[in-house]
Amino acid sequence: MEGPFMDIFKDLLLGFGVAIQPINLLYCFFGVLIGTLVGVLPGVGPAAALSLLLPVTFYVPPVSTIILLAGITYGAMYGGSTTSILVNIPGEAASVVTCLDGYQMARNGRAGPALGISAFGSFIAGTITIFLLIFLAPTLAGFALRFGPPEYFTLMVLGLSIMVYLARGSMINALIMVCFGLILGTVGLDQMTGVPRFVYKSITLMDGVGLIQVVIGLFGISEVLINVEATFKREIFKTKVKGLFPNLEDWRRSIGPIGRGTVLGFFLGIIPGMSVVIPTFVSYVVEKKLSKHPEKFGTGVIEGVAGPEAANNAASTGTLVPMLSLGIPTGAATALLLGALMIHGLRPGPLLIQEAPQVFWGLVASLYIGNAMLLVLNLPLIGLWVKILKIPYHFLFSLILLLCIIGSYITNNNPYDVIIMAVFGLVGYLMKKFNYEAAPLVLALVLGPMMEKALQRSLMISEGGFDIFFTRPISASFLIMALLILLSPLLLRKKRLRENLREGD
Amino acid sequence: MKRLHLYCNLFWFFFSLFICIEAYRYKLGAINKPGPGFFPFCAGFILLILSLAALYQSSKKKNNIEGTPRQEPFRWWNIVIILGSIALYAFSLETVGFLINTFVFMCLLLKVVEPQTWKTAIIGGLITTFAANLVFNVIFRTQIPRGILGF
Repeated sequence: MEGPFMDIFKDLLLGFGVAIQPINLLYCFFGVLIGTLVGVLPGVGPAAALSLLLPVTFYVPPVSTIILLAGITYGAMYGGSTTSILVNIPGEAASVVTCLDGYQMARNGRAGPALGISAFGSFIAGTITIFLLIFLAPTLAGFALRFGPPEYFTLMVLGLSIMVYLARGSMINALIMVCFGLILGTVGLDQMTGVPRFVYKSITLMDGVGLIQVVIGLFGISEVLINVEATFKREIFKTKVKGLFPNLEDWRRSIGPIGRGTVLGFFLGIIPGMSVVIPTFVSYVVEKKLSKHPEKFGTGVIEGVAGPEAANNAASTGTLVPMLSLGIPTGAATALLLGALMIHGLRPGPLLIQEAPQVFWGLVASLYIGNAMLLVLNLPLIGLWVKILKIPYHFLFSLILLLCIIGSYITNNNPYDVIIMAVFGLVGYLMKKFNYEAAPLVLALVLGPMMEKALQRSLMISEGGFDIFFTRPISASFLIMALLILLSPLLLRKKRLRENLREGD
Repeated sequence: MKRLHLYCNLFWFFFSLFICIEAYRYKLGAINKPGPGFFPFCAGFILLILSLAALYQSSKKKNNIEGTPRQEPFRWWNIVIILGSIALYAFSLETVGFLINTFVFMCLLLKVVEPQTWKTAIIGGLITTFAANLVFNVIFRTQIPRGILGF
């Protein structure tokens, strides 16, 4: 038993050796700082921030790039909760649940403990899940070495099915978005034959529709367009923050929710399509169910803050597991992290840990350092983040637009990329109007080319037989799971209909 | 609203039809050796079925009035101005250069979209241009065009 543990310990030491290099510490600091900032600002989520910064990282070494970008994703979780608690504005979707009890705690004069437990809960969750990541990612990578094209194809189908199932509103709309994303992924030169598809003599489209431009358009520009079509008003609740350290009673009530939120968040975060948002809702519901006073939830109970806050931080580490060990992103943010690794010539997947141990273990160590930085940084800077929220929106939106333009331009120094971004800004705006979600589109756009390659190879191996997906146990189980997920709303609706009829009788 | 949803689903129907026809032109290949059109054709075909299902759904839906009527005017012109100015910025960047372009763009947005005084617009434009230049040109050394005037 000593062998593997010693190996992990040595690898972890290597990781810390990489992460504490001054340049990497600096990038880690910038990452968590920018992450907190985008978490604070509504309308600029981690995905948009990552796509804005991705082109800048062309000039940065690969380890520093991944440390910087990962810092943004988990830094955003901290920033989002600060504004949820103090001003009832979730900076990003993963902090929506925190508003329910966090803001009520602030109104009851307990903003300090709410912010404190949110920061400490996130830190505890971050620390525990890093150890889970250390043990799980290499194991999963070893298991994934047995995966062939059919397993990869069906795993991606499963990921997209989960994304569709979890989408808000109509499932048909989410499926339409998946198909649209898959079609967009085929634009450009065919990987096998080199035939240009949907290019129409445009040199810009030869390389395909850029992920960065699509994400900036769908998440950044569309949000601005939605906000400027009506007069934007924002009310700031004035409160004094004092006593950030939760008392013993707060700790007694929070430790259970933090533990459960950590486990739930991490394991739900691993599932492709789940993202960091769903685990926060699950954690809140679980805590409410387990509570002796569920009726008090929503009036400012600390369990309603501790659980979801631990869950969103744990989930952001969990999402890294399939990305690092299988090379499969779980959402828009991990898709961009994957893109960053590929830009730097690394091959995300089962072999990454062996081929680039300094990247994997450096990232793991930086997660721990970054979480500690956030804890030390964020509590004293809370006043500053609230001041940033008071910046008038006319300054904020013009700044966001400028960053969007520069971010999409410097990818290839091509003005047509900016036009593509603007087009997707309009598409994103219309999607919001007609209740279509952007996340399934983005995930399908990223997975599309990988899925196409895996499908083509599978069919070549089986000499044209689709039975290859059903006869191999792993791929068959992935497909069955995907089918059950997609058909479950139909089955449940039938059951509900039958129950309603019985009640009617 | 019902009619708008109907048009939206009609758009998906014609879009998927277009994708299927185009993908067919790229050659579908054989099932044991799929051609370049195979994958987009499959995606387009599934989209076609989904759009038909959505069309059926939206035709069955009752035309309900959603929520309270809109209190504020719909400022559609802001959307046109923003998208137009982004296009203008993109195409003039290489000729006019980063600094002048950014300053004009910021002033335009601050003056027209959420109208501010000239003083606020100019000061806001200057500060943003200076900060953007510091971050992108000085710190990150990205290669944003300087334009014919050399800055």
